[in-house]
Parts: sequence; C-alpha cells; structure tokens
Amino acid sequence: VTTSSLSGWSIEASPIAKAASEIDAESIQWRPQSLPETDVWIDAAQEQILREISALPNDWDASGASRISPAAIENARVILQQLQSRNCAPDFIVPTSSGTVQFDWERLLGTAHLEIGNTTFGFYTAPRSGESILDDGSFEALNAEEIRFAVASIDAGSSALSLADWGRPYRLMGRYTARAA
Amino acid sequence: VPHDIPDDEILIRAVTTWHLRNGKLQGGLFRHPADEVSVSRRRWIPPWLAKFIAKARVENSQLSPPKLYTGLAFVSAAIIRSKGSAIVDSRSEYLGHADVQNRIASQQVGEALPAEVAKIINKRAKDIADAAAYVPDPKPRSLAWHGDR
Repeated sequence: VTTSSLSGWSIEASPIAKAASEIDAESIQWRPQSLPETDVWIDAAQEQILREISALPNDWDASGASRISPAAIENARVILQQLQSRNCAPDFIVPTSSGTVQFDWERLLGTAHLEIGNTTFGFYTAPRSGESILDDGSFEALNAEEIRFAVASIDAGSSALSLADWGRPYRLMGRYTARAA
Repeated sequence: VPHDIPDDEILIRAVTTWHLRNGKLQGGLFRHPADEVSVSRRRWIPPWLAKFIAKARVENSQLSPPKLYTGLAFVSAAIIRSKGSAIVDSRSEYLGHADVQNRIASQQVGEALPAEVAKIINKRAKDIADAAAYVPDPKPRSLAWHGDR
C-alpha cells in the first residue's frame, strides 16, 4: 500500500486502513457466500431459536433469570424477519437473564448488539476503531433499515453496503453519538 | 477471614459451557442482572474447593442447553477495581465468598437497557473476562482439581 497525496488524503490515515491494521488475521473466520437455499434454512433455524427461548421458564439459568415474555418474543420475531429480509440476520440470538432477547453481530470491523424488551430496545455498535453508533427507545421506533446500515459499518465485506450508501452510516453515527458526547 | 479484600487477592469465578464462545470467555461471565457476580477468594478457598462449589451450586445438566462446569477463571482484585467495579465480601453465602458489583444501573425486568449504559456494562464485563486467566479443567467430571494453578 502506498501513500496517495491526492488532496492531502492518505490511505494509511484512513479509518478503514487503521481498522484493518488492528485486525488479527488469524482470528478471521471466512465464511462462504451463502446460497439462497441456505438463507431459507438459516431463517427457519433462527425462528426455531426464538421458539425455544419463548419456552424458557422462570429461573431458566438456575440463577434467578426472568422468563422471556410473549411481548418481547413477538418484538424479536418482528424485527428478526425485517432484518432477514435485508440480509442482515444476526449471528447470535440469545436470551438474557433480565427477560429480554439479544441479537449479536460479530463482524470483521467490530461487533453490534441489539437488546429487545417488552416495549423498549437498545442498540450499539462496538467498532475496532472509531465511534460507536447508539440507538434506543420505544420498540415502535426501532428501524430495521437503520440497524442494517449500522451493522454494515462494522462489516468490511458487507454486500448490504453499496458505494452509494457509504455516507449513510456516518450520518447515523453523528446522529446517535452526538448524544453520547 | 478479613472482610477487606486487598488488591493482591486472586478471585476465582467458575466457568461453564454457557460462558464460552469459540473457547474464549464471554463478558456475560462477569455480568449479573442483580449486580452480584459470585467469586471465591483464592487466599481462603483453594481451587479444588472452588471446583467443588461450582459443581454443586453452578453446574446444572438439566437446563437446556446443559450448563456444565468447564474450568476456573482467575483474576486479581486490582484488575477488577481498575475497570471500575467493586468487590464486596459476602460471607453469608459461604466463608470466602465475594461479589463483584458494577454499580452502574439496575435493569427493569423485561426491558432493554439504554444503549449507552449497556455498552459501558458489557465493555467492562468483557474487559474483565479478557483480563482473567481461564484455566480449563482437563477432568471436569472428576472431584479433584486438575488445572495448573
């Protein structure tokens, strides 16, 4: 990689190059491009996970965890279907001991976490470098398209993020991190 | 057994199959909704006894998926405090027991934490998990401790 002096911009100083330099190459697990049939199977498997989570009783972790209410499960199902239709299904779906459902994404440039409750949600990205994207509030205000863009910001190989989209995550970032500051 | 826990004390946290992902400790190991993460004080509770307690109180093969003991995580009180968490003696559980407390926010059952709070809590728990030394037990079903500490 060589330095480009075009308009004072350099590849080495770009946030993407900085993030790439911090990546442990051995930790990367390359996944093959999924086929449409595979996506159908994954969608069904994730729906099955939600069904199993919905069947958990109180104290399901033997440490006092709360059961996951039908409202939280239904909210999770709604947003999961919206994310799946955008090719942005989470990598992990887990219950929390607080009675909520959590979606996790673990991507090349960081992680993202979405917690879904009966009436509320909380979302943040934890990029390897740069600012986090934060969002929370009433579940009715949760926007799957914004989640997709936020997840794309930590996914170097995301096909969900086209060249024309590059400005959008940063606009979201400004919107949500302004409050954190 | 003094109530004060000095920085140079080592604390032991039981690790189960629920706390591992790809062989690495998850931040959830040091997070609890009631803000009471149970640990044993190494100075007073040797690893073999910590393992016995873990198998008696934490392991539960009837859960789905089974919550099986896999080993012990060791972390100093100084590291936990350096991340911003507190450690309090809680001998009402058993002599040599302590709780790690984040003291950031309490969570309403069934509702999500605000994003900024969740990020801080999860990062702190992950930082502590990353700093802890996880020693897998080569013979988790045995009653004796076979780890190298």
